[in-house]
Amino acid sequence: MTTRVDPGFMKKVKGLGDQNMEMCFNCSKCTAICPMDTNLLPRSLFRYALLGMTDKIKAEQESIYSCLLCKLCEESCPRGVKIADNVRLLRSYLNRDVFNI
Amino acid sequence: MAEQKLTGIYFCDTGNGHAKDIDINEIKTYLQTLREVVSVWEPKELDLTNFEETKKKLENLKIERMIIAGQTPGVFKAFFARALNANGKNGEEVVLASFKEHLVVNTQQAKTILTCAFYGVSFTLAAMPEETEVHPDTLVIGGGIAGIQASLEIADAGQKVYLLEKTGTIGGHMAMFDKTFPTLDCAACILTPKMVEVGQHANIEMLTYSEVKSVSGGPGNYKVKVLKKARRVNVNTCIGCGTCAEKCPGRASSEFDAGTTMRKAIYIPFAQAVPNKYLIDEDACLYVKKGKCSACVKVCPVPDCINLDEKDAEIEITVGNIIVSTGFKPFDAKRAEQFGYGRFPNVVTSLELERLINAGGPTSGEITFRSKDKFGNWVFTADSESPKSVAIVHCVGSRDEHYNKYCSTVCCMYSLKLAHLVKEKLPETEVHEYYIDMRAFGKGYEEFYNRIKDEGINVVRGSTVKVEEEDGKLLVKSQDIHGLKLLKQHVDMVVLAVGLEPREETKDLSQILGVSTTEDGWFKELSSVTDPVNTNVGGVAVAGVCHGPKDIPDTVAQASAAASRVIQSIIQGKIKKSVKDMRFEEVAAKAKQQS
Amino acid sequence: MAQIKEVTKILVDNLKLRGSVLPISQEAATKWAKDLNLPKGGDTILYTGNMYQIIPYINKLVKTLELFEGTFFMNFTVFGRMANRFVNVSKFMGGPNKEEVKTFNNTLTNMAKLLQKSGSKFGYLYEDDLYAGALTYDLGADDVTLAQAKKVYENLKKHGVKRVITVDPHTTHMLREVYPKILPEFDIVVKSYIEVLAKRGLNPLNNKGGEVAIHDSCVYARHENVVGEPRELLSKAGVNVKEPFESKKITFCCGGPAESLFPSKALEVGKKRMAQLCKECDHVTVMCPICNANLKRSATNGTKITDFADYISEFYLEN
Ligand SMILES: Cc1cc2nc3c(=O)[nH]c(=O)nc-3n(C[C@H](O)[C@H](O)[C@H](O)COP(=O)(O)OP(=O)(O)OC[C@H]3O[C@@H](n4cnc5c(N)ncnc54)[C@H](O)[C@@H]3O)c2cc1C
Ligand code: SF4
Ligand code: SF4
Ligand code: SF4
Ligand code: SF4
Ligand code: SF4
Repeated sequence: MTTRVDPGFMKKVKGLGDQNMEMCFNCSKCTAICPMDTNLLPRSLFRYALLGMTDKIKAEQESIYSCLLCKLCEESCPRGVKIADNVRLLRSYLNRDVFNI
Repeated sequence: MAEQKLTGIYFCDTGNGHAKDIDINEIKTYLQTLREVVSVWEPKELDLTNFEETKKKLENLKIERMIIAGQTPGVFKAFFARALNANGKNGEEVVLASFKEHLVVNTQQAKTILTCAFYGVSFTLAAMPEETEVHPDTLVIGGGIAGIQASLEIADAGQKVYLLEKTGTIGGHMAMFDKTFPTLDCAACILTPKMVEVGQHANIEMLTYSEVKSVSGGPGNYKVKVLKKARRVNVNTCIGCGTCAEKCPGRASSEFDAGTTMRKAIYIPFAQAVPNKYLIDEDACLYVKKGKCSACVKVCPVPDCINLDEKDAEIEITVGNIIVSTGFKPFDAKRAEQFGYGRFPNVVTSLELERLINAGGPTSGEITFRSKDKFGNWVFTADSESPKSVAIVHCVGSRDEHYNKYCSTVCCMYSLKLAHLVKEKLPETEVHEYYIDMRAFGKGYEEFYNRIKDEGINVVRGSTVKVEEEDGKLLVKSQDIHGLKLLKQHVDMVVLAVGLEPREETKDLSQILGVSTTEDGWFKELSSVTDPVNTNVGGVAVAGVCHGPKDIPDTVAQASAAASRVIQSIIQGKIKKSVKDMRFEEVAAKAKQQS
Repeated sequence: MAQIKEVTKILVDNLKLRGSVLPISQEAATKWAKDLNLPKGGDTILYTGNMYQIIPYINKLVKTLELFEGTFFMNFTVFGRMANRFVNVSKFMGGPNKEEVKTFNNTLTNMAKLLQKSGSKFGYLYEDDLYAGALTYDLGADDVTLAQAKKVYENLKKHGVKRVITVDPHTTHMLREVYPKILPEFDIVVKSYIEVLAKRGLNPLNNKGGEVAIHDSCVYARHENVVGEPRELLSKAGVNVKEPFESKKITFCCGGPAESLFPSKALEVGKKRMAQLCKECDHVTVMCPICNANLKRSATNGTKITDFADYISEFYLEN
């Protein structure tokens, strides 16, 4: 299986608003505490985004939209990642670049 | 003196980065007296978002060299290098004058750093303080493995050492462990002989149960006032028989056992303590508190050995050098509420587990559940049951913006060690270990990690977020990052790999000695690259964890290095004065001379 | 997963074309204020943002979606989205539960009365009390949200408003945190009615007390730091406040925000939360219409759920 990456992806997302995904050091406390119990939300989404895996981002729409923006994860995040804001920005990206809304 | 190039200077953070005591205007006025400095800018005067404009400004002034000054000058280096290049100058001519690196806190120091940058001279070279005579005796503060090692090195070189220790015994944290990573050597087998040697060495005078009250004088000749707290037991005559403790009604939690068991008010910290003598904890002694007991005096076989009315004493010593080796304190696990320490009895700290595993500990080496004794204290006893499953949680209190941002460096490795020891003691018990990154950085450490993984220990990449209680078991919540699986693991015992923190007294001690500390509160070395043991105060060196988290091998290496600096100065009979006391004019003159 | 795109589009189009994610009639939106004689506009106003008024309609939509989720009929939304441009599709979803509408209107009335009791003087914008755009913002539809924010701000300015008292956490968050970020000129002071009541030191008429489990809204607790105020008002009235397993700063979400796209997931989370709350008390108080709706959907064993304003009215208002 080949995975295509878009090196300019984060640039696009940054253009949509403030984000700090790169602060994430991949500990997954957030995923472990998230009430939605999906394996992807939110840590994996940030990995995809940081790597520019646009196909994955598109394929995982459901996870991106199922986030409650409840910030429970942020209380546990050791790196001060603004998780809810970051997830919302991925939605902005989808709306703009994928759904053309 | 070398010819100077036309220079521009940029202050990168006059807005908020500086200490209040730095007067930018005074510095500017001074810099303009240097002939080749053609312009000095503050951020508001130079728009770095506009490359073209800045480049033009440099071009018009024919600037050939830029100095960037402030807390984080490195950030702007690339920008100015590009501008110089674009003007056909040499982009290499960007010099950083970092206030942060040199602990600049006032105008004079800022001027000094800038002057060195201007003359292209390294600060550490220009700021070479003058030398003075040195008293041959040395004070070592803190009797952990660092202090023990340093003392022995100096004493073996034939010089007198005072080893000052706050508690009733030397040994520090290492004395609490059963085995040490990565070799799994028996900790006591290494440490105890050294402790005994210290106790018997003709050149070492131990000052246990003592604290530094004040320090006066200067490098080479420090007068140190030492508070000798009342032991209430005569160290010279006590035979360590323990008869007193048997009868003593006073009780307190045992510090040496990390609170896993109780001890008496009259106690010996542990069986191999040096000095191997008893002492009385005044906070727990009924005589001291209420004037109502003297059971120990009645049973002690040595006449006048116990003096319940002994008072604290003060002595003064004179030394030429001081080595600070006060170690650390473990992170207080109660602060990370999500793990339930203090709420769930079988959430334990790594240090507590060390004591359980140690044959000399409260359970004689059995790993058991915490239970209440007949007085209602939570303790560990050998007759309690053993866990069938154990989870070890990494990074508790470390690498976390809520607590300490730094990595405590030793907990990954000691967690692996503990996992191994649990498995060795209880082969049927499941052991799960949850980590963020496995920091197996030292010699033989990666090999140790691989060995542990082969021992049937479930090592999971993914941090634990929370410990809850469910159906009488502890529930550990994590995600397995590699397997992409949410984990809700039920276990009997959770071990928190607590990080290392500066001790509370570090602040006082840094004030008494004048030694700078880092933002995190560790003692600061003069230069992490070229001088990792001396400090900004002449004749004061650091060794061990009080300088930053490190393991025993690194601690011992640094202690030996500190000792060699001391020995060097004694052999030469001379010692450098403090860098922090150097005057601006002095350094500036030297810098000019050296350029 | 076509529904994400389609539902988002319906909501976005609605906001764009009809000024609200789910358009309701003016009469329905302002009915709660009928007997209160509130002046129109003024320095300080009570701003509902229509959340309490819309929720019953959303519930209806959710019920419809739930029926279709994961089935062939989900494609209905695709059709719905195309039709929505021309006719207001939500109209065809059938009317909301009458009882629910009445309760929520009554809650708003109670809030206004409580504020009056505390000595606060305020007006209301009636038909100009617009939806603040919380849902479209959360869905990441930034352009429409910004356009809506501008509209809301112009409206407030037009009526000379300087201070706004909000009634639900989502509108509070939009006006207080989001608007100033996306609309730098936004200069209205925003406080929730709970904060105003606590600040003004409103005293109860009786402290007959009671027992209630408190469910913190994530938005109040974590985004807006409204944690102490409701507890203060409750304990003043002698109420024994029961804290569920996760509360205050680490409150567990009601699941509501997932409602419009993933109703069954929302229900799952809601059930988890209800289980925590039920353990403490069979009466739960909530501070947000979304929490209210989603927890009610998730409640099984007759646990009573009461909006905070209604609950404290028992102690602070004469009936
Ligand atoms: C649970 C755990 C397990 C570990 N396991 C290992 C291992 O297996 N292998 C390994 O290499 N490392 C291990 N370490 C790290 C090891 O503990 C340290 O590297 C080592 O103890 C550092 O020694 P030290 O002398 O610098 O400090 P310490 O051991 O802390 O000793 C400092 C001494 O100074 C005294 N003191 C403090 N303040 C004052 C004062 N103001 N005045 C006078 N005296 C004072 C203290 O009482 C103490 O005796 C472990 C650490 C922990 C927490
Ligand atoms: S908790 Fe924070 S740092 Fe850890 S994976 Fe999640 S976002 Fe990244
Ligand atoms: S904000 Fe989103 S990712 Fe974070 S805990 Fe809530 S639902 Fe999960
Ligand atoms: S009984 Fe006396 S000699 Fe024996 S340990 Fe106690 S104090 Fe020392
Ligand atoms: S006098 Fe103090 S130390 Fe001695 S037996 Fe009594 S309580 Fe213990
Ligand atoms: S050494 Fe390991 S466990 Fe300790 S703080 Fe660093 S990464 Fe975490």
